[in-house]
Amino acid sequence: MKKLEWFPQALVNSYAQVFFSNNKWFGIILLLLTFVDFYVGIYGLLSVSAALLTGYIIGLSEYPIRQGYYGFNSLLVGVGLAIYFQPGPLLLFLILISGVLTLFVSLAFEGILGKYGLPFLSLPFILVFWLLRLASRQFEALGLNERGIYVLNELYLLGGNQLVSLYEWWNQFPFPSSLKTYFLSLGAIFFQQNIFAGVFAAIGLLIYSRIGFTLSLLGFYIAYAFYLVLGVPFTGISYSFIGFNYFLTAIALGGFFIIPNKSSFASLLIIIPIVAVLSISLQEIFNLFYLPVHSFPFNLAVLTFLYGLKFRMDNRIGLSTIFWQQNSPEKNLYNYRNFMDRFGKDSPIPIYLPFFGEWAITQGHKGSYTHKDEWKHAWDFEIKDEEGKTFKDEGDYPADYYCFDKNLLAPAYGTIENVVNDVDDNPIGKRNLEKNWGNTIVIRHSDFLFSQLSHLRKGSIVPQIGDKVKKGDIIARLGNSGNSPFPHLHFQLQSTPHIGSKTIDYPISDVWMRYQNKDSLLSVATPPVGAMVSSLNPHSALKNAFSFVIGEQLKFKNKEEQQITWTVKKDYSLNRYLECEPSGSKAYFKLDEAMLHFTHFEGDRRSTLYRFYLAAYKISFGFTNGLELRDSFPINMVFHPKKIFLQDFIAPFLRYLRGNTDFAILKKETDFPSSLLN
Amino acid sequence: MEKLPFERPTIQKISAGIPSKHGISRKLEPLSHIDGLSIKSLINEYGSPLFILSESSIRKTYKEAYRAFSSRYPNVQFAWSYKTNYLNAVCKAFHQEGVWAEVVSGFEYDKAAANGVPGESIIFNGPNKSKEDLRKAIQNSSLIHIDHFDELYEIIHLSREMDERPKVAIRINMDVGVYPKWDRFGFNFENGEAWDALNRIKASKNLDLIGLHTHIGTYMMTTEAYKIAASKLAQLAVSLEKKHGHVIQYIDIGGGFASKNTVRGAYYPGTDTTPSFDDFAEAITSALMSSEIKPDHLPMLILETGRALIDDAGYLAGTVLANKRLSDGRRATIIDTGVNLLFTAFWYEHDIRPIEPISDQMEDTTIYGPLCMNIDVIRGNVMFPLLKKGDHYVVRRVGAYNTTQWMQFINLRPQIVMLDMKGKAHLVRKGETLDTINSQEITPEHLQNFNL
Repeated sequence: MKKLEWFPQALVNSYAQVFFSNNKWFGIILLLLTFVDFYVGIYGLLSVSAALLTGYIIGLSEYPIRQGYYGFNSLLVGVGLAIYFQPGPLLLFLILISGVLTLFVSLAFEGILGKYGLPFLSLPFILVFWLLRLASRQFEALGLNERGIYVLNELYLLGGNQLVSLYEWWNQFPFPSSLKTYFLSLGAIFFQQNIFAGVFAAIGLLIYSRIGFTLSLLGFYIAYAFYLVLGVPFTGISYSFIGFNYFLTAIALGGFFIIPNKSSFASLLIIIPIVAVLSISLQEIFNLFYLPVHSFPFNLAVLTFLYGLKFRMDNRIGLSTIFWQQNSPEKNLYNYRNFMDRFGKDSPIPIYLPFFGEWAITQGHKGSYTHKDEWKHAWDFEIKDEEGKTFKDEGDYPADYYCFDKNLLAPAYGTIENVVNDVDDNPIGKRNLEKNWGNTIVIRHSDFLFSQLSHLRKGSIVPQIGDKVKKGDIIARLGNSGNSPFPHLHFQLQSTPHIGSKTIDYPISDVWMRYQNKDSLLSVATPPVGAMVSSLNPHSALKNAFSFVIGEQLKFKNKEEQQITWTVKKDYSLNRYLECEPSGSKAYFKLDEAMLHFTHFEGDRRSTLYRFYLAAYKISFGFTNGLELRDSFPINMVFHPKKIFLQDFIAPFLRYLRGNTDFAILKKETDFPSSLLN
Repeated sequence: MEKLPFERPTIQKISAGIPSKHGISRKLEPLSHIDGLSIKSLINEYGSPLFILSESSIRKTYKEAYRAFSSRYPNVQFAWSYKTNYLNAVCKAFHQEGVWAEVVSGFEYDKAAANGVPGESIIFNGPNKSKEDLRKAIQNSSLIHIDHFDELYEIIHLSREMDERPKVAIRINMDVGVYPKWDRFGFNFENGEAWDALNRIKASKNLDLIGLHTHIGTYMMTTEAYKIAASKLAQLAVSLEKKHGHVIQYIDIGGGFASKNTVRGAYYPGTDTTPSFDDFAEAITSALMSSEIKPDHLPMLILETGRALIDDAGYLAGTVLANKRLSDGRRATIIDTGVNLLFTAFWYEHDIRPIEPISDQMEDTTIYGPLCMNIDVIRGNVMFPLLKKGDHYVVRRVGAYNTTQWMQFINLRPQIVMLDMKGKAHLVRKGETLDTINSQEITPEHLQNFNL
């Protein structure tokens, strides 16, 4: 029986996944809701179970099964068939095989759409359901269901008089007609054409996601208004057959696959009318086959938009697409905001400062002298003394300048792409405009990432073209060649290998920055002019302690003498995490040369791993006495859900809760811990 | 009309501005203010003579030194050499800048500890460490630099007795091409004694060998010697890793950087000949960076520079007591500072100058201290302006060693003030009084009374 331990979770999630959720309570509510019609409930359940068990037996990965990804389409097929046809052994058989068929169609769609990074949504359900609707016209033995017409009978059987009167009360309740239609549409997702089911589902939706709930209303009313304006004939019943397309689209594009914010909400003003037009015109086509469109317009619209958005240069502005799906608009939003606050621009290959010690930025991005137009994303570095001077004595000679002749380092692993090593160094005040860049080195870090260091000393460049360099290797000395009236380092990142290529806006990693009387340690930074920057020297003991090699196991006992094992693993997208046994919690982290960041936690908040996630949220391997680090948690990770309930509603526009945290090294124990030495 | 000050008559060969083989005739510029504060007002307030320390000079010099090394090497740590100047105010200014402590005796160790320096940041050097000192250092996880085998055996013994793992480094002496060779401290590199010591430490299994230390000499005027020293230590670190698989955590290159004082008998002034921090840093770091030490295992570089960090920050101001004519006709000026206070007068031709513009005329002068001793000479012969009794002088670059090696002799030792970053004076050591001296003395009962 232990083998089927995953089953309840997978089952409940299969229900919740219809609304993209993996919320247990939402799943349970939806499950109960299908049982308003007992046969619908039981056949739906059987269909899902058939799919889930088949998936398990053929050996699909347990995680997506648990998440319900492979179940919800089968569920819809099962529920749909049970509504249309008379219950009986034949239908039972049909439902079981169609559940299995839907699983394989899901897998096929996952394979096809997954390549484009797209979800398969409810396409498998629609396809299989259409197939069966078409085929079943030949199945004489399947009688059409008449139960849907006698709902009260069913309810009486189920819950006696009380349930019937409750049902009546619901239906009599004086909701505005538009709201009634809303509830009907919501119920219609599970083929339940009654207000009772709709209200029930709405409560579940609210429990699952405040933003999702808001979006469903927004999507519905935009469509409602659009119908009114168009003057399209509109009746509650016929509308509700396609009404769920609007709020599913609204949830998907307003907050689930796209980070909910002002833009995503505003975009619905355009998208929802498009879906309305799609629904109307598709229905015209499918009427030829006597088929309902179901959620096809929603699928078509969502996939088209998501695919189209992928062609943008930057997926993080305006309509920001999700890169880490957590099955909840709130979680996605909070984590995304937090990630942007902490890491900002992504830097898949960390680029570090190319020198020892503390240097001043004398010209930053979009600088006032030469960092303009194509070269606006570049830095000039010099060394300053405590009086702000960059030279000693009178500064008449290059050697008077503190930065002159200092070693320069490879900013990351790479191959030397281009070298100029024979331009004479200028006397102070003279520029060499003929050979603008002077002595220069270009290093290839990846096919689209190159770093360039310019104004180097004549003859000082160590490696040759084609040589490999590691991060921190000495590659040259700073000089005063090219367009350089006094010694300074020009440093830029570019996507092409030529000297003086167009610059790209790419950050520097792990920068200790003193700027406007504030010290901060930034995991990624685009330091501005006037900032003093340096790298903290990583301490080998700390670096070793947090190196977390994949497969490594950390074993210890907690206070209750319980054996705890943390294993370092990585997931499909190569995100690394610690997995805690026995709690099963996971803490995801990001590790580079100088810092460890925890990015995400899921699982049991009473586990030791959660404590560790909080404590080691940001670790710098280099440190000084009294070093203070500032960071922030996603608010859903530190606040109780009750506390953020209200925040959730307005979170896309305004966030008043903050999860800020400070870490301080009060007193460093020792520089040479014994444990490291032997 | 105001009465013009009297200037005594002198006879001098006229050499009005024409350069001779000794160069152009030099005028000694007076130094009236330190950090914006008038020296005269300080003397009036705190008495004469008076040691004056400049906090801004301390911090500025340190930052310059740190910048020179840290812009060339990834992991640099300075340790303040207590013996150079262990006034608490001075030590704490350095500790505030992140400098560790380097001590050479139990007394200095206690002083550093009392200053609040954590045990792990105290480097314990020197040939004289008592058993109790060692016990204390081991207890506090201080870094013990072993000087000789007897000490090594004692530490091994103590580690067993105390069941602790002492953190040790060995001091190594070597031929770096300078004379005199400093071979009385530590283990010799060339004759293999250093290896014996390292093998012994590794064999004991009870000690954490974390560093290698050398101190090649004092007042080094050449950077080449440091280059040799650093590369020899690096070589040792590499062999150690090869042989024992042991990675060294730090290399301590000691101190000995010259300050800008002119050594007696030097042909050129120190200001022109002393290598800068940049020169020393370049020599040392380039030797380490170009050694065969793996980049991941580059050790921390520790520097114990004392003199070069503090000499410039110290001034000694005082008053002229008298003038007289010597038998050979030269002038002698007697001032209120003797060699007991200005110990470095034995080594340096100190830069001494008036604090007020007294006279344009200079005379070959011998400057004597106030002691009744023939050796009490501050400057043998110096072209000095014609100071009168009661005029004030100031000696520059006296921050190193003087306030640790000074003697109470004949006179009491004077006050020491430190000027803070804003130029405000703080008394950091009170002048001695009769009570200071007498309070240490115990006179036997039978000697208490006498009748003259």
